[in-house]
Amino acid sequence: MKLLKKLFIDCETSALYCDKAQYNEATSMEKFQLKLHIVICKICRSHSIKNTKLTKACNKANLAKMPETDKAALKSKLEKEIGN
Amino acid sequence: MTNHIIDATKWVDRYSDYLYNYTIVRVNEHEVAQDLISETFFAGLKSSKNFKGEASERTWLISILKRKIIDHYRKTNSNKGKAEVRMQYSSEDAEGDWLEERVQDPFDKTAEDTIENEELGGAIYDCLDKLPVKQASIFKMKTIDNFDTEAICNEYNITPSNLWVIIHRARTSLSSCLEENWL
Ligand SMILES: [Zn+2]
Repeated sequence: MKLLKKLFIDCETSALYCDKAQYNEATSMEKFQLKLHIVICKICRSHSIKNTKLTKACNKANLAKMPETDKAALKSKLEKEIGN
Repeated sequence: MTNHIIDATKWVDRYSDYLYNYTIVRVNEHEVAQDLISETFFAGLKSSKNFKGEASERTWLISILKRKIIDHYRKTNSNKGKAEVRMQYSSEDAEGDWLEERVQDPFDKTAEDTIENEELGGAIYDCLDKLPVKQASIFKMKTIDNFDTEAICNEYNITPSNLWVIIHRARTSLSSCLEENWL
């Protein structure tokens, strides 16, 4: 009974596990609980589908950003220039 | 009366990722991209009086960056003795024209895919622009840099549950922003 209770999670927890799963940071147990929840919860099911689509889109877009160290260097260079 | 005061101290935070994403697919070299963006900011600083506020700051910076990239193309192409890259711009923001020039490489079979993915990337960045700066930064560090949770928490001095709340908000906003055209 206790185990059964543990298997069922609420919508908030399901949203958290779903986000973690997008970054491969959900444990097997969390993934299982999530799957179980979205079988019975329509809202979380549709959220999960959307969330996964976003992950796919981000991967497909092959996004790039400036590395943080380069950003910091550029920032101080620029601030120096502005200061003069 | 609108005042177009430029706050260049915020440029790096606001635009460097977007400009980098735009540049790296075109020059394929980190150092070059970094230099071009740096030059763009400095050129922008010098000509900030010319900024009329008609376009967004980002669009204005991109227009400067584009010219820098074209110059870079010309330089490398003439170094290699190749034909000069022809760039025709009908207007300041004719991004599409340039993309078409790039597609015409017959050896680049994946060009069409690349264009589509690049448009998608642009759309994601446009949506990221609508998020609060901190939220967008954390999302990008997690999703693009692939920093682990702990590293970001240390950087921003937040707890993991704070982080997941921020990520959740960012993802929800992004999903609905992209939904109509892209997801
Ligand atoms: Zn639910």
